[in-house]
Amino acid sequence: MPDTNSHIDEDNLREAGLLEVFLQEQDRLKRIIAGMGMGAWDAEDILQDVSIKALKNNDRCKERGKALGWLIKVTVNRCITEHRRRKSFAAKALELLDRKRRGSKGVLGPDENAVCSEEKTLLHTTLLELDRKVLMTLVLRYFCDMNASEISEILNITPSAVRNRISRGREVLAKKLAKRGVRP
Amino acid sequence: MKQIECKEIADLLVDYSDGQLPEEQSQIVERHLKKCNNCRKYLGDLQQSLNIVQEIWRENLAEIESVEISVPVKNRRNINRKYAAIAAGLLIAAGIFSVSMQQTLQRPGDVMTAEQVERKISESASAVRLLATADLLREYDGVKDTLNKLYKHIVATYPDTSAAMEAKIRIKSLM
Repeated sequence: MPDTNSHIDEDNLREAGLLEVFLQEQDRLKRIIAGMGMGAWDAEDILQDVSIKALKNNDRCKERGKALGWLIKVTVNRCITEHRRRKSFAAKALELLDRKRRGSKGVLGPDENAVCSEEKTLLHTTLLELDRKVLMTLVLRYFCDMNASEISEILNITPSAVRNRISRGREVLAKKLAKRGVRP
Repeated sequence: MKQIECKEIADLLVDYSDGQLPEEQSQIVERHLKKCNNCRKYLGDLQQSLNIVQEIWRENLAEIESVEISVPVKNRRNINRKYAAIAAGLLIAAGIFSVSMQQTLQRPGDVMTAEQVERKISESASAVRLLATADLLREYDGVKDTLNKLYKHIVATYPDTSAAMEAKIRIKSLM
């Protein structure tokens, strides 16, 4: 269980411009982009857009923590727009799976977490078929280690709506796994 | 009765697996799990699916890990459009230059070798490229000194080009 309050520290109150924070926190933004299933080209486009917005609004947030929140919000919105532009999650899923298949080197080694490719393929497709807002909430919670209250600020919804989305998303994933008879 | 209880417990399992349930509710869930095979399986699915999804995310992250934006630049699509326009401009300029050079070459007593023509075209192109780069930078704050140096470099290095003339005008506008 991650320490979800760890983001709130003294460093967050330090004065910093958006651009400075962007350059330091690209890895965190990449996690959001990767969680939404974007490839390298999309990632570059999105990060460039965010960097330009950061440059234009450099002095908008005085505190580092607020600047980071702003950058995450812009990245989240940009990712959601990108998905909307694609319109079909299924098409994106197929594209990703094809890419994976082409890049695959074949059989998994015995030490590779014992997760078989069928389970991954199943969940990969399910993940990308999820409602984009539910997916984003899962990404922020389980890949960016943010708590419900932090996510609610980013997505402009109540913490209870965040918890609902998380439950809904987890249920969909678990039920999909159960349906195929895959067990831990 | 058991069905209803399972439904109620299932609603709590996500929070339970995340450690978000109050102690009292947590104990109720644990007691139920000890006697209910179905709910134990569902909890297992919740955890296993999250593990796999996190692995998928990590794989995606590894794919984009190398992407690094160090200096903010204009949107690549816009830049591409801008450079396409510049490239088209360069081709037209080079064409006009070649035609005028051919006409010049035909004039008696005013001879220029093909190598000289090629060098002139190359210099003009370099000057235009530098001018375009400087113009892109103009949109950002705090780059006045850099711009000044760049324009002066164009004027000094490619004095006979139209880009040098443009650069002189830009230097004046910076003052």
